[in-house]
Amino acid sequence: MVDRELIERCRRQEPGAFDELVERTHRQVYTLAVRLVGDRYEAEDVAQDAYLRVHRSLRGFRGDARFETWMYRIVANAAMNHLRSRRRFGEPSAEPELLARPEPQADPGDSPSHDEVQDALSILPVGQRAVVVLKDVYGFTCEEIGGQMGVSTGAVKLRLHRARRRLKDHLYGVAAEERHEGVKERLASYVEDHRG
Amino acid sequence: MAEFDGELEVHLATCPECSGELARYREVLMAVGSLRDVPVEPPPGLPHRIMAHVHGHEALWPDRILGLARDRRVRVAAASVGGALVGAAAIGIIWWRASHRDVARDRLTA
Repeated sequence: MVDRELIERCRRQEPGAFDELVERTHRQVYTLAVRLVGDRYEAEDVAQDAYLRVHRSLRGFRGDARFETWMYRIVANAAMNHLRSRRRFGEPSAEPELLARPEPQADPGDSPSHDEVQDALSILPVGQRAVVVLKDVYGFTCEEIGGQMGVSTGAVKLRLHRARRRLKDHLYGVAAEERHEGVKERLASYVEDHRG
Repeated sequence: MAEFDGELEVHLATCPECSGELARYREVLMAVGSLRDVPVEPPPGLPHRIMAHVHGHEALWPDRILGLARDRRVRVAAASVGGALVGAAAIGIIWWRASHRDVARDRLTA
């Protein structure tokens, strides 16, 4: 957690204040960066770039949002720029591990473990993974995500829908008998408003 | 949308296969959401490298200006541009004064 006092000290450019901010927050920043870019080395570049932006923008932080939320937006933005610069947003036309029916990772009725979910996330195409991480892990809105990725809200929702379906299929396997496809197609979106 | 949801809910109430599918989606969403509390361990020395990166870049801008000022070629170019500007301004002033002098002389002779 970053308290108000530390932020003020950083804004006054007190010696050691920004170091303390980095020390306290780098785990969260690195974690988000790894989850977005899917590579530990690239995540370090993203984290460094994000902190440079935080350092330059701290004077403009007015405290309307929580500091962590503000910082996550900067990290997400840095990650998106990083991914764009590597032209990795195009969805691959064929992904053998996804086209093949995956072996279920979790037993029906069991909650998947963190490692299983992490593995499932890692097989998603970059664009889908970014959307599901920002929306379902960090609580960004589809509008915010669209703004950061430079795509429409509709495109974000579509990627989210596909990502959730792929995650579910990877974790639980695809039912051998595909019935009621129309209904199942709507469940990935329906579940968000009816978490139960 | 509410109408569609209503239809869907009626179907879910009577179809164990689709309600099971919905339960799996809920599990997935909960499991994905819980990742927020699970940090990925950063590599050792990351805070130090971050600070080096930040300080390195923040120092770059003043250093770059000083570096340019120290470059003899840049100084010569700046002096040439400055000289050309001063010359152009001097010519402009002379031309302006001469044209005003001609106008004043014409008025006196008229």
